[in-house]
Amino acid sequence: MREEDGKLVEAAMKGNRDAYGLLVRNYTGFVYSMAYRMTGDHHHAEDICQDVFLKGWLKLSNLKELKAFPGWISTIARRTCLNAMEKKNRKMELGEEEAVLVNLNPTMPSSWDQSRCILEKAIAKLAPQERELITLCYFQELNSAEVAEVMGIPPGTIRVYLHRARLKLKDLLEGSKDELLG
Amino acid sequence: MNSWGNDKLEKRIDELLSSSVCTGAEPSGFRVSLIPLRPAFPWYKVAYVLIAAVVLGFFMVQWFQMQKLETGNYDSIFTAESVSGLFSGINSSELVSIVAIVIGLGGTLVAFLSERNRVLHRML
Repeated sequence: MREEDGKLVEAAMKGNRDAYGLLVRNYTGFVYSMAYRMTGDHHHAEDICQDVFLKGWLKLSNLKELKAFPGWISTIARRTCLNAMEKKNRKMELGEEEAVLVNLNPTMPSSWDQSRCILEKAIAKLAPQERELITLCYFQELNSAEVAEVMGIPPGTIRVYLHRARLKLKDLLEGSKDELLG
Repeated sequence: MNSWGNDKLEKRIDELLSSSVCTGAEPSGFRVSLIPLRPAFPWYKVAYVLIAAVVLGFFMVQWFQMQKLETGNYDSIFTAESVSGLFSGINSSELVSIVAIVIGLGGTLVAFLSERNRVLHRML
């Protein structure tokens, strides 16, 4: 974790709302991407993001170590996404029109460039666990042991799963090679 | 495993994946709203209400003491004339009494009228 983030976590734990606001700004990209990749819906991801940081603020006193913040917020994000997906699936089982429409029509933010859109479309074709793994492993603030802890899988298997996910992703992106490299 | 990151496409995928989870990877224009401040406990309102209650209580006690309670005729105690004399014991020359009334009435108004205004605003 970056040193400046550590100071922000410390200040936020003492009740400094502005410090937490800066932390939120630093981690929004990661939490949003995780939520987007797990739900496949842009608007839903925004709501989840909001929810994650609110939970973080309310439960900040539970954080035992400053350094653990990235893993801690990742765990909150993961659980919130899983709960949201569970709710969505339950709605789909019940045949609620809105949920079915959301599922059939995944949205993408208009501000993303072409490369990002190509990447996200390819990631969407991976298995849920692979999507999650790819997101967590590329987040600079987490090491492989922390990723393993967040996902609840042995650290040794992380590298194997990651390699498999990368190869799959490469296969999926092979057709868009020119757009990505051009 | 070792082959990863050797060719151009693999490097580009790494770049894109890293940038997709870093600060600013969220869609432009999206911002997490800051958490609202917890409402502070209205200590000043509590103080106003307590002062108002004490002042009112003081005059009530004075007023009851002026009544002839031993007669047992309570109808005569709560007549319009006797109740209107609640503050009759106050002399305008008594500065303490005037200050007490001003604080008591002012406190009551501040404590309750602002709440009422808020309800009215919401209704409008």
